[in-house]
Amino acid sequence: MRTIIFACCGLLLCMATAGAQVADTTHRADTTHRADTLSYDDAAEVAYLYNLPAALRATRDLTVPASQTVDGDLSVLEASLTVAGHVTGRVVVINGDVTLAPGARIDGELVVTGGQVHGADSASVGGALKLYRPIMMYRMEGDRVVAVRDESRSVANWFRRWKRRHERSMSRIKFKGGTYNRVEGMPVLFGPSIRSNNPLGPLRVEALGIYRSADGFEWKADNLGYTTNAEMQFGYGRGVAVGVDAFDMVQAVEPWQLRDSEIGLASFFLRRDYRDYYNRKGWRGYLAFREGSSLSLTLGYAKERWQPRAARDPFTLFRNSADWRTNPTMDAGRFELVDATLSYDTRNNVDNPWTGWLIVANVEHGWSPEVVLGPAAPVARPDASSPTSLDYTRGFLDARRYNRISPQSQLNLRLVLGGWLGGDPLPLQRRFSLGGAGSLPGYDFRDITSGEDVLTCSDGGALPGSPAQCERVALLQAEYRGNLRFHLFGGAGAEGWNWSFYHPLQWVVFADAGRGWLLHERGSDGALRNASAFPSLDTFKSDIGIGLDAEVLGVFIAKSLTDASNPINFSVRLRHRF
Amino acid sequence: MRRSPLIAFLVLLLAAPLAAQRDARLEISLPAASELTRRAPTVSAQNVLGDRRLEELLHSGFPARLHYKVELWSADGVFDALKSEAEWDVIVRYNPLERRYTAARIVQEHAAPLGSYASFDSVQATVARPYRPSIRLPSGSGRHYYIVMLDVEMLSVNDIDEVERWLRGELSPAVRGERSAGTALSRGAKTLVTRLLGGRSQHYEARTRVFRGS
Repeated sequence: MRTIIFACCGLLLCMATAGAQVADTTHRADTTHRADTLSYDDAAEVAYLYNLPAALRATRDLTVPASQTVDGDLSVLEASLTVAGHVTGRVVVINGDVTLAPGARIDGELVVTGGQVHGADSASVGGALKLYRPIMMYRMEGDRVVAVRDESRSVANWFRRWKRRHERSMSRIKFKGGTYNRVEGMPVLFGPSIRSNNPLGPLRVEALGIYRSADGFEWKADNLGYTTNAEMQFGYGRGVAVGVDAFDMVQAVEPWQLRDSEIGLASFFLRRDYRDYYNRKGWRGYLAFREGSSLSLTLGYAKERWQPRAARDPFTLFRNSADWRTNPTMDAGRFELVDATLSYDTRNNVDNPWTGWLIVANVEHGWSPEVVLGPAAPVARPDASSPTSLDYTRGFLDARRYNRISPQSQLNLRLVLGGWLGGDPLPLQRRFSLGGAGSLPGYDFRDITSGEDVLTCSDGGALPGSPAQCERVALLQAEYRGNLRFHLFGGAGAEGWNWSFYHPLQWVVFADAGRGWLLHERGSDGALRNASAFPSLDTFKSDIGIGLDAEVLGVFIAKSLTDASNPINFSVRLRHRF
Repeated sequence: MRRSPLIAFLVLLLAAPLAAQRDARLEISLPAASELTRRAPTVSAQNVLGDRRLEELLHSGFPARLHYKVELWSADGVFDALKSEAEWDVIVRYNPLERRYTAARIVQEHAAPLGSYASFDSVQATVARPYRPSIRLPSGSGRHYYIVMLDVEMLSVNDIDEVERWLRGELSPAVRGERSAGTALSRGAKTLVTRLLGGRSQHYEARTRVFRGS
């Protein structure tokens, strides 16, 4: 009886062992090591295993058929391995995939880097399965593989830091140049700039002195100024910011027409300055609500002293002996200002937009008990030989819409509306003009047209510098632009739609229409009366034009439609027209 | 006659970068029609680092940034509509001390190593490998197309460690006596001038045909 029991136990043990041997024909999951990282030590170990003497070594895709047995180790470098047969030793695959056919057998361990293992569940791997997902970095020394440290992680970390370099806490001395112009020459800004990120949000403090190059960098009051800013934003990206500015600086009138870079280059190279300037000194506090970079609303209060500035004679590269256009004498006085600015930007690309909106809307209310008025045409505002008070409200809207109408063409529109909304006539600093490359390129800058002057709103007489005098302005710009395929080298792609060297050159057809007008016409009795009706469309000035735009530089020709005698104008713009 | 040198100069100015880039190629390829909604298009860029000026800057320790952006547009309405977009970067750096190029692909916060190479051709080949961004055509019918844009730029040397790296790369051979200090300094100045004069950015763009989703 006892013999029978032992025999049964022995039989069961044998069956269990046999069962275990059957189970061993498939890979055992508990010996699998999968890692998403590959340390230098791991890589060095893999390299060591690879360099051990092997029965078979391959650097091209390799298949071990079911009928084949490899007696020893198998090493594969930068290639795929398929095993259907039997490997009696270890398998090492560097930067390649492994496919194990059903019934395949590897007696040793299987080590793989930078690849996948397929079919492990239906094959037998006697040793551990080590799978490292990252590609292994190595160099060859003869036939030997030598692991090298993976710098890509540090490269990635460095790049992330680089991308956030403007958002990091920092303190540095800032040194930069402003826009070259006929009043300042080159304003050089210099001073400390601090950004501190804290749990509430970023704190920025900047205090820059301004030193102007006009009159050979002479050290005098006219050449000195400053601009400072302190701002605390609660929240990153989205948040509320509170800030205060203090400044004594030269401010441009109508900065909406041309970019700073265009003004600076035209001034420095050609001695042509398409802006007017005045001096602002004072402070401004503001509260800003920001939703990333796409939406913001800023409310501000400022106390400033405005003073006129005279053009000086800064150096220019060409036409250095010609005279600068006079900088018009602006109004002077102490102003208090409250303003609200809404900015909405959904463009898909700031430099080269193909779709989206850009809207900037501003309302400003300003008042001053005593203003010395600068020269203006009698039709533009009442004469005031002695200082007068001013209390005005002004609005400004610049709305742009970019529309892609096919893969290679777009139709873009821009509407500019600005002007008096209430109170007294606007100070000269807040008035408008049209004409020139930034608004109506078919007309010259500050072109005093015959008949009613709807571009600068003068009475036909020439004031020094021809200041902008319109109290309201309306401008509509439209352009249709399309890509020019620039196949200098290479050909179309396999699908016939790709192109090789792309030069972002576009042709442009455009049209503009607009005018400015005054709201306070002088009646036959000599008194000013309100004339706020929207002018008839047939009084608008319009032009059409064509151009070539290489994204960073565009050349355009424009012709007035409403004044046939006006010659064709040629203009160069940096980046797109708008 | 006086204009001839100027014209020749302008022709040379235009021709030089074009000639240097003549093999550069950006491509975007659609998956099979049956897989349009399941798979992203494939993007590849050949020889975009092949410009001698870029190579020289890279060799001087300035990292190269290849910024890719793929946009999916719908072409059904009066105006085409941007449906989705995907962006990623490939960073290539040269370590002058180890004389190796390292490349990494960065998608949002995830960095994937692309390898470390002793030769410029190897890293170029790695950069040129096709890549599928994480962008998909939404299910449903409609006419669409993809556009891919690539900006290649040499990054500014803002960080102190970058300046040190550049100085080490340029000046170390002089210190070791392998190159005269004057040569090293002139190379350094040349590098800076090159950087200032235009080693800034190159733009490539390609698109697929307009296709109809299934």
